[in-house]
Formats: sequence, C-alpha cells, structure tokens
Amino acid sequence: MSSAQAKQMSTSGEADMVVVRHQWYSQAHLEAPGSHIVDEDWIENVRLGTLQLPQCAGALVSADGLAVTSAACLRSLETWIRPTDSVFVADELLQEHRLAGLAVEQLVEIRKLDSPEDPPSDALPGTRTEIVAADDSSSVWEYIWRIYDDVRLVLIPPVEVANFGNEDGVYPRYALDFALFRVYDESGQPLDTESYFAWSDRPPDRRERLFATAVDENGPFTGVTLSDTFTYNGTTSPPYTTLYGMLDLHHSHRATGVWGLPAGWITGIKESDLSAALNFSVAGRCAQVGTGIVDVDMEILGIAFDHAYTGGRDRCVAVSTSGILSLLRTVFEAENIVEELAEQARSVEENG
Amino acid sequence: MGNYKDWFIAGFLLCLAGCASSAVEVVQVIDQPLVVEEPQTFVSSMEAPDPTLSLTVDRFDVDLDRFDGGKMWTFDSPPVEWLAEEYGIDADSAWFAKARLGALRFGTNCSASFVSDQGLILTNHHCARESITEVSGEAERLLEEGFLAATAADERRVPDLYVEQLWEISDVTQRVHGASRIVRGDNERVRARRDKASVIAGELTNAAKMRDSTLRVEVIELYSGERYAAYTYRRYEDVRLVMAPEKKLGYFGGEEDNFTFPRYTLDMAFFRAYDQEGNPAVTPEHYKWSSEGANAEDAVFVVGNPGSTSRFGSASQLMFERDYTLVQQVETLQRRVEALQPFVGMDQAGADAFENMWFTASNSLKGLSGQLEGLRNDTLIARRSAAEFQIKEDLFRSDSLSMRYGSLFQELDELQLSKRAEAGRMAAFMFFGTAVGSRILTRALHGYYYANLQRRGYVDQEVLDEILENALVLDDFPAEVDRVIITLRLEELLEALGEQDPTMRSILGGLTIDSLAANLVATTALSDSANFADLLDKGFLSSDDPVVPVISALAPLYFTAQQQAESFKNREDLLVAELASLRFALYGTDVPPDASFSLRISDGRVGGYSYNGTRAPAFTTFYGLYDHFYAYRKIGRSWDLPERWRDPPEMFDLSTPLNLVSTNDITGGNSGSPLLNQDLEIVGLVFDGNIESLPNVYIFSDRTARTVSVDVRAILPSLQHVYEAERLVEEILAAQ
Repeated sequence: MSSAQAKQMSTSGEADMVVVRHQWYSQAHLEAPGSHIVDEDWIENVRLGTLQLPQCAGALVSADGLAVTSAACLRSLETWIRPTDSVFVADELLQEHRLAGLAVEQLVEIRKLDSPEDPPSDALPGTRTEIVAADDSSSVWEYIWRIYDDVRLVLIPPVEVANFGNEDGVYPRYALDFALFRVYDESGQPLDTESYFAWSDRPPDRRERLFATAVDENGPFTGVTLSDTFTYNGTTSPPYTTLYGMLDLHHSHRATGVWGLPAGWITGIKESDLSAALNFSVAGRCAQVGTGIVDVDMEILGIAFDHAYTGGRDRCVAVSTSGILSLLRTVFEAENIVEELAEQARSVEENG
Repeated sequence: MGNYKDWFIAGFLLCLAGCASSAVEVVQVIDQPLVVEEPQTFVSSMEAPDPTLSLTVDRFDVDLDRFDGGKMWTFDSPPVEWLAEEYGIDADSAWFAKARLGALRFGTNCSASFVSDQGLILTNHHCARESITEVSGEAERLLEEGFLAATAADERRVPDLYVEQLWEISDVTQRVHGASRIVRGDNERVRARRDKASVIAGELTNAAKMRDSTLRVEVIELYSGERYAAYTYRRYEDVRLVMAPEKKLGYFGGEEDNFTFPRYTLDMAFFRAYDQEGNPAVTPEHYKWSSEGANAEDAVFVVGNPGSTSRFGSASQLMFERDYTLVQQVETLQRRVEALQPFVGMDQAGADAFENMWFTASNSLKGLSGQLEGLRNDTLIARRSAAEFQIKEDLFRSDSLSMRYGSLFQELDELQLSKRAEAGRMAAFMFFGTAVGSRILTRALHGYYYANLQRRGYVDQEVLDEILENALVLDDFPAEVDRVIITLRLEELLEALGEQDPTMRSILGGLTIDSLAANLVATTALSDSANFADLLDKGFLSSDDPVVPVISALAPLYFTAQQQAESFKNREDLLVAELASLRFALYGTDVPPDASFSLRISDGRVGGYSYNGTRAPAFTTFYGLYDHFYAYRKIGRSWDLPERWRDPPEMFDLSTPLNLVSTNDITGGNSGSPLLNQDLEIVGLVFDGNIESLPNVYIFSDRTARTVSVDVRAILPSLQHVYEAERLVEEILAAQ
C-alpha cells in the first residue's frame, strides 16, 4: 500500500466509502472496528466472484455461472436487446439467449513484479495479461484475466420498470434496474465456480458495514461503506424504499409518461410482498454500475445502478436483492431461478 | 407541520424578548419596573448607506411579481376581476358569500369548515389535539387510540372550545377615522383609532346580540388602519368531538415530515357545533363534498384564517433578519438541538418534558433554517428592494405623499443600523427564559422578578399570581439536560460580554463554566418544581441557593436588553404601519393587506413541482403510506401505523389519493382550512406547507412552494372501511 493510499484510508470519514485495492490489501484495512473481520480468503473469493463487463461490473450469484448486473449494462450493448423489448425470462438453460459480441472477464490472478521490465507470463488461451503500476510507480503487478465470450441472457425486466421514473441521480428511488445472465465455459457448459455471492433476502440493517466490490481499469477493489439515512427535503431519507413506493408513484403520477408501469406488472406486483425492499443507498461513489453490494458473509444485498449526490455527499444507489427475489416469484414467474439462488444461499450457509 | 399549530406554539420560541402573549416567557407579565430606562438612541444624524449595494443580484435584474405580497384576499374586497382573468370564473357576490359562510375560525389558532347541514365540522387532527386530550376520560388514551362517537349522544363537548362563522362584513373606516381627524401625532392617532374601533365593536356587538345572542362584532384593522371593517361573527360555543383518528395516522411522519412533501398523513378530525338548546346546529351554509376530488391544474381556493407574514417591510429589515435575528436564532437552537440529541430516547425522569422541548426546538430550527436559506438567496431581497424602489418612485410623484412619507425608508434603514449595534448583546439572551431555556435559570428568572415585585410592594395580585403560575407550570427536565443548557448559555454570555466583563466575572465567581454549571445542577433547589415552590414561599432571593448570585447578576442585564429590544420593536412597528398606509395610498386594495387571523380566500392551482432532482407528483396515495411504514420501521417512531391500519380491509383501494399539493398562499392559522374547487365543493383539507414554502413568509412565490392538503377522496373510504363510521359517512353523503 502506497503512502498516498494510507493517507486516504486514514483521513476518510466513516461515512465515505473507503476504497481498498486488492493488490494493496492488508488485513487492517478491511477490519470493521469491533465487529467483523474479513481475511485474505474473503478477499480472493470476492475478487473471483466479481466480473468485468464493458464499462460495467457484475457479480456471480451461483455455482453454475449465474450472474447479476444492472439492466442498463446489457441494454447498452449492441445486441438483440433493443430498448423497446419487453421482459425476457429464460425458463430453462436452453432458452437462455447468447449475447453475441459480449465477453466478460474475471481477474484470476494478481502477481507482484519486481520491476516493470520483468517479462509477462505467457498468456494461456482464453486469458489475457496486463501490467499495472501504482500511481507513484513504486510497485508493479501483473493481472491475469480469464475471458468468457459465451454469455447468455437469463432475465431482464421491461425497460419501463428498470428505468422507472427516469430519475437519474436521485435517491429515494424506485427502479428495478437489474438483469441476470449466465457465464458459460469453453465447452458450452454453465461455468462451474466456487466463488460467488449468495443471494440475500434482506435489506441492509441501519448503519450496516457493507462492501462494494468491482473491477475497474486499475484492478479489483473493495469499497467499505455504510448504509445510512440522511437529511433531505426537510425530513430523513428512508433507509430503503419498497415495492409499495413504486405503486405509489405509478398512481400518484396517474401512470403517465415515465411513471407508467406495464399493465401486467401492476397485477403481478400486487401478488408480491409489497413491503420488500426495492432500492437503497450507501455512502460514497460506486466506481461502476453493476457493482455488487455485499455483506461480511459474502451475501449480496444489492446491485449498484446509479450515483446520486444528495444530503451533502456522494451516494451509490442500489437495487435490493430482496425486492428482486420477491418479484422473481411473482411477476417473473421464475421459480427455477429462485430455486437456483436459494440453493446457493443454502449451500453457502451449510458450508459456512 | 404538526403543523401550523406547532408553529404557533413555537411562536414563543421565535420571539426574542418583548413579544406578546406567551405563557412560558417570563417577560410577558413584566412592565419593566426594575431598571432605569436608558435614553433611546437612534442613529439619526448618520446617513444610512444603501444596504442593498452588497447584493449579488441587482434590483434591476429581477422582475417584480404582482403577487409578491401574496394572495390572501379579504372578503371585503374580493378578487372578482382576477378570478375572471386567471380562471375564467364568474365569481359574483353570491359565490363569495357561499365561500365565506362555510368557513370557520376554530378556537384561537386554526381554521375549519361546515361539511353537513347538521353542524358537522372538518378540521385537522393537529388542531384537535388539545381537545382530544381534554375529553379523554381518566383511563382513556384517545389521542393515541383515536375516537369515534357511535351515536350523537356519544359526541363529547370540549370545554371552552368555540368556532366562529363570518356572518356579515361592513366598512366602518369613516367612523373610525372620524375619531382621529383632529388628533395630532402618529402614536396618538393610532391609539385614538384603536380606541374608537373598540368602542364601535362594543356598540355593534350589543346591537347584534339584540338580534341574535350568538353574534358578536370585531372591528378589524386592515392596511395598518387605513381600512377598518366590522366583522360580525356567529359563535358556536358548544362544540363536541365526533371523530379523530389515532395520532399515529393523524400525525403520520411526525416532526420529521413536518414541512415535507410528498406526504402521507390523514391529518383530519370531526367536530359538531350545537345550538344553545343543545341540538345539532342547523347549517345550510355548509360546503358540499366533492366525490371526484381535484385534478392537476384545477383552480382551487383556500378559505381560512392566516396569522401574519413579514412581506411588507423594507429590504434593510430583511437583511437584518438574515444577518442577525435568524442567524442568532438558528445558531442558538442548533447548539441546543445538537448538544441535547444524545439524551433523546433515554429512559429517565423528566424525559417527556425534555423530548417535547427537543422536538419543538428541532422543528423550529427546521422552519427558521428554511427561512434563512430563503433570505440568503439574494434574488429574494433584490425583489424586495425593487419593490421598495418602485414605491419610492411612485411616492415622489405626489407632493403630499412625499411630505408625509419621504423619509420613511431612510428611517427604517437607520433603525436597522441601531439594531445592528445592539445585536451582539441581544444574541446572548436569545430564547433566554423560554421553553428551550434551562429549567433552573428560567425558574430563577421568575423567582427574581417575583421577589423584586414583592419587595417593592407591588400590589396587583393577578400579575403576581401569573408569574408564579408560569414558573410552577414548568415540568422538570433531567438534571443533565439542564446542565448542558446552562453551560451553553454561559458560553454564549461569555462570548458576548468577554472575560473581563464585571457581570461575567461575578457570575462565574472564579469558576470555569463547566464547574459552575455542574455545581448549580448538583446543589440548587430549583431543579425541582416542588422545592422551588417552597423556596418562593420562604423568600428566594434571601436564600443561600447557589443560583441566587447568578441570577442576581444576570437578570438586570437581561431586562435591559429586553427593554432595548422592546423599544426597537415599538419604533419598527410604527414605521411598518406607516409603510402599509403609504402602500395603500399608492395601490389601494389591488394588493391584499397582510394576514390578520381573519377570514381570507386564496386562489391557486393543483400541481406538482421539481424537487430533489426529480418531480414531486401533485398527489400521493395510500401505497406511499405503506411504503413509508415499512421503509422506516427499523429507524423511528414517526412512521409507525396504528394496529387497525396494519392490515387494511381488501375493500380499501390503496391507490386512493391521500395528500395533494397546490399553489395557494397560506401561513400559520390556515391549518384546517377547506380546499375548494370552483363550485365551492371540498376537494381537500389544508394542513401544511412544503419546505420550499418557508421563505414565503417574506415574498410569496408559487414556483415550488406548495400548500399541502389531505385529499378529500382519502376521507370517506377511511371512515367507511377502516373505522366503520357509517353514521358519519351517511351524514356527509346525505348532505350533498
């Protein structure tokens, strides 16, 4: 860890996101005072569970290569998904739709080099290597990326729901901005992975210490952050929003323009547990859309999809995995996915 | 705002020394016999520089809006042409009479309306709070649990509550002015007019009572006495509680959501007026209930009793508010709210009294901060300055007006300079002896005053009793809370007076502030209400209580500051009254007079607005109520729901509109006002203004400022499906 990094760590207020780059990781930096402590295994698992998409991050959520990101990350691709396409749900593997031209990457190894002149490793098929230097050039690392170019769409909500309200940069927020995809290996089988985040069915607790994990151009990092409320509009912000709020806005705005939910959705949502969390915010700026917001047990609680500056600081706005789960059961009728996610959550619990 | 009523309650917090009519502030009963009057010094030889030169926005860069002064129209001069021009409404005298007669003044600080021909009254839950508590039996918790009278016989009379209907209006300007024509001197003329107005009110009341014993007449002063109107009120003195929801629903969102929109509060309550024979009053003048509610962009009207605003002074006055009064108030409250925050929610003796104080202080802080923020936007003051410039230009076209008012603005500007010179000392006593003050020092101040009056042989027992009552009515705070407040006050005094000040040295007696505060709290008898009463009997000032030397040093200083503040205020009131006269001479009734807790009608439109980077809808729904209940359930008590609302019946459609916003001009006193459509049917029940409306106290704006109402469509389904109040529902429906 460079001195500049050390300084950043020590001067950051607790409500700011403290960013730790994995290559600089040392135990002390991720210790939550007096509570949970993560270790190097945790860090490695987090790195391997994190995926890099073009301009976006993603997170593996099952041992069979199922992954989650922001809907915008897939819609922005020049693939068959056009903005006007409505919901897509693959009921079984065969229906999963390959996203032509999309490759995702996983950082499988970080090697510290003695000098920038050290020869890079020979890139194995399906991987690429990259040399990265610290800002002050004091240290150099070699990253080895594994590339997956068989990525298939599993589920994406209709754009009116993912972009509900078109409220860029706003929190409180009520958008179902997520999409599920599956990573396949070279042999066309779903990726068999040990590193992934178990799907959580709860919103964050008040002032819970959370981790925003992503891979950007400078390598993987984990931001330590806090879920909290703030003062805005003369009142206190909600710790999270709920599906009730989505229906409130739909009806408040008389279902006009960006506030109109598809008719089928209204019926479906009403069968859900409307008290389930929909969005929440954490302090700090999430470097990338699609970043997973995870807890100390490596459960994923949210997927970052926007940035808001409000209540006097940057905040990262995320869609809650608990609200998604509630809707997978009802509106999406995606029982298979629910089972896959629940299965993983169970096995993690048993192993943990 | 828990709302406008709390604002009234907070009123005593807001006034520095010298404001009238508060139960808590000791200064109310003081006519200053204790200190030698210092000569008043107003800077008059000095030319006041143009105070607006420092603004970043020039007065020439702003557009004056026709309604900067607001839209609180009187029924004396109703806005017939404006309503035709803006809304295409042909509002004749019958329309205005109907608008007037359905409306009520509710008690001493709220508004209300008749909603059936049997005297049924609709107002806010927060206006009904005291009444609900008063009619609660010993084992009942009606404020928490709500109330519904199953039959007429179950309706509960509220002691001392009355409502008033504005029955007739007549212009008595000539009669009042006749009395003052030969009187010389501004002060004397004002007094002569007020005396005459009161005589006329008495005569007219006697005459009216001959006709009908429920009538009484008030003579209302408009445009600072340029107009006088006799308002004949029909007063109903038998008012009974009919229905109130649980506080959790009637005050959903609590102090936190005060001044906030989007909002989800069923802030309603029902009463009934009875006649002198004890029968439900016959009230064919009631408003009808709109079944459709309002749509965005619809014209809507608020008929109610707004208190007052600060829209008609000079730019220099606003700048004084901005640079001194508000800053001092905000900083004083901020320090207390922050320092005492750790004590909120602690289970300890005195916690209730303390928490009430803390929430009231937080709420006042929110309101004052919003006003300060408004004034710190230079555009606002530039607009006031432009208006002032316009008045000056118009004024100098008339020789007689120039003669009379030519130096008015200069005098106002100079007065502000004098106030600035004294502001530091005033700041050290901000809110001293009020509800946010330390209990120990507040009791000591009362004790000091009481003992001095007694010693001087003061004989008016009523005054003495009132001081005692004000002192003894104070509930104890936890000792630690008192210690913190005393520490803050001493620090503020030290800051204002300096370490070398003799008073300061005598107060501290060689101790540090911390140890003095700790000593006082540990050893004084004044931390306990009963012990204090004992001490008063035995002679407070001659006792050896450690607070005696402190208050003996402090009180004279306080009373001097107090007296100075009062003399500034008297002078300022006089100048502002002259300004109102001038304005009236120039513009007549085109500009409505400032609010005066008498009946006004304000026009506007339903509509959302930009906020928080997005758009606030014109309406909210019951879905949002549940969103908030679940979203906040882990962090606070403000958004909790009563049991019967947790699981609403299936019949209840959660997409029903709950609250709505409109551009009407309101202020404290408007709580409980009906929101009417152009057919004068009820579409809403006014209960708050949004956070953006706070600066409206200085200049009316409808860009993002909004009036917040309960949507009428929320009321009947709640009564029907959740409260099963069939009797009430049928009565309202039958009255259509």
